[in-house]
Formats: sequence, structure tokens, C-alpha cells
Amino acid sequence: MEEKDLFDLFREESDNLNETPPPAAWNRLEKRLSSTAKRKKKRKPLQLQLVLAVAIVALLLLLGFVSWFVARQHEDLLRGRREFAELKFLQGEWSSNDGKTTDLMTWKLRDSLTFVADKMLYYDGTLISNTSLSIKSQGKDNVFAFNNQNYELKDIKNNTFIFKAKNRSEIRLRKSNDDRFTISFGEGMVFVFRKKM
Amino acid sequence: MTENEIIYLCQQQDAKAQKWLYDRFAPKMFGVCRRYLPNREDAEDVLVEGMFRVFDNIKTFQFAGSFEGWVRRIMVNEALMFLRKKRLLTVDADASELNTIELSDPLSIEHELMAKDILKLLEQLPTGYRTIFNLFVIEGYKHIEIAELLNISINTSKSQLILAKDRMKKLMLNHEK
Repeated sequence: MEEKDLFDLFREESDNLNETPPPAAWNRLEKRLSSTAKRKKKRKPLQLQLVLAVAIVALLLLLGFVSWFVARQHEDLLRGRREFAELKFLQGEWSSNDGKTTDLMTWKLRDSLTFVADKMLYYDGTLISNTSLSIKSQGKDNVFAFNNQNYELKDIKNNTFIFKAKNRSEIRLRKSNDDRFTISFGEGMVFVFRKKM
Repeated sequence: MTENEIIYLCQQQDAKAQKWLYDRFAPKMFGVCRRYLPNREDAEDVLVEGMFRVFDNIKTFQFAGSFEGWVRRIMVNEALMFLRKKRLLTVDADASELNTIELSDPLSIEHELMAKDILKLLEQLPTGYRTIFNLFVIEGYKHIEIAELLNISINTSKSQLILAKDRMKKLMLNHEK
């Protein structure tokens, strides 16, 4: 008989160590596999769970930001309205920004908070309109009526009251430190109001 | 259907493919378990747990190497885990017994060994010897890998193997008589 190394003997014969396991082993394994498969089906994939979690967090952040932004806008608007209301006793004169002296305009208070310019409006020396210029405040609404359009106070930024009409045109009324008020109608048409001495 | 196709179906959790794969590998893997665990019930437990891990992790199999090798590694790890859990795996680092071994002895033997004899002989070895013997001789692990697997030193792994071999040789001689 050939003399062999012990390790070789084992290595050669180890492949023949196959042994059929009892049938119960497969039954146990099958049960575990089917119960795990059911659990996996019930459970949403991890990636989907992650995406959902991120989406929920993003949505909450967005909602938080929107509510904060709306609250801040509302607060600014309220502050603007309060500041705007302080104008009600103002009497002033106006001139166009081309430097030409124009008629004095007297502000009158009508109703609770209404400013009316009775004079005709000029721009670059040209009569624009004989529509009266009025800034009204009726109850909670701050409305600047001009050329049959109602401009509602929408915002206040850097001492500038921003009025917007339904046709999206915009009028800005800026209050400067030297008691002057500048009203801009779109581009190029600017009127400066000074406090009457 | 090829083995790779079956594996692919198992990755899709196809029950029939799982059964086919089990039938294909279970006898071989049960043999692996039996080499580490003389108790048949223990070996069956390890086989079920190991095969469950195979199917649970089969999606990670990349078709890069031998599937059988991959399954076998899982099964061996599972057997080692079982031994650790049951606190059966104690590798004695005391090498005093080494002094009694005549290292110049040729470690070859004139013997015709049958598969059933292997199991019988392995059963008679202490768990630590048996585990290192299996890992080194049959699984082909290196001493550094065995040391990492069993959390022992490389020298302990080497000395335990020599002792295991010596014990095995004696057992075989007795068996022959």
C-alpha cells in the first residue's frame, strides 16, 4: 500500500463526505424563507423609505419657510400700513422731476385717510392727465387711485411703499429723510412731493 | 438550466430555484457541517441557518468566483459561530504537549482511509484540534487566516495543528489495530 501524507489522505477523501440531510431540514428552511419573503414584501424597500423621509422633511421645511415668509410679509404690510397712516396729516407741494417749478398741490384729508391732488398732473411740462391723484385708506385697505386704476399697497421696502394694480402696473412711493416723497409711475415718470412749509 | 441561471432566479426569490439549489448543495454542505459538529442535530441546525444566510445574501453574489466556494465559506463561518455560541470552541494555547511529539517523525501513514473513517476520527478530536484541522487541511485556510478567524495567534494555530495531526495519527494507528 502506498505511503501517503495524512493531510493528503484527508483532502482526497473529504470530497466524499457528502451526506443527505434529513428532509426536516428543508421544511424548516422553507418555512423561514417564506416568512422572510412575506416580511420583505410588507416592508417598503429601504431606498423608498429614505426618499419618503427626505421628501417629508423637505415638505415640512418648505411649509415652515412659506409660513414664516407669509407671516413676515404680513407683519411688514401691517407696519407699512401703520407708517402710511401717519401720512394723513401731511400737506405738501409737488413738482415734476425735470426741475421745472409746477403748481403747488395741496393735500387734503378726505374721509379717514384720503389724499387728493386737485391740480392737473404734468410730466416733462406736458399735461398728462387731469385725473385727480388720490391716496386713500379705507378701513384696512390702502389704495392709491390713479387713471381709473386702484393701486393697492402690497409691500414696503427701504422706506418705499409699493402699490400694485390689477393690470400689474406698479407705483412706488418713497419716503426720504428730508420729508420728501417720491412717486414713481413705472419708468421715467417721477413726482417729488415736499412737505409744505 | 445552468447554475448561474438558477442563482439568478434565487436572487429573485424564486422558490423552485431555491429548492433546486438546496438539493444541489445540501449534501455537500451537510458534510461540511458534520466535519465541524459531530452531533447530527447540531449539524442540521447549522445547515439550515447557513443555507438561510445563503439565500438571504444571494443578491450580493457577483458571479465573480465559485458559487460553491462562496456557499462553503458561509457554512464554515456559521459552524464556527455555532461553536462559539455554545462555548465549544476553546483553543488551548498551552504548547507543553508539543515537547512530547517527536517532530522528526514522518507524518505519513500507510493507510486506506474511507470517508466514514474520517468522520469517526474527527469526532474523536477535541473541538479546537478538529476545527483547526478542518480549516487548514480540508478548507485550505492559511495559519494567518485561521488566527484571525478564531482570534488566536498564528503560533497557536500552528502548534494546535501539529498536536491535532499527532493525535489523528495515533487514532488512526489504533483504528488500524
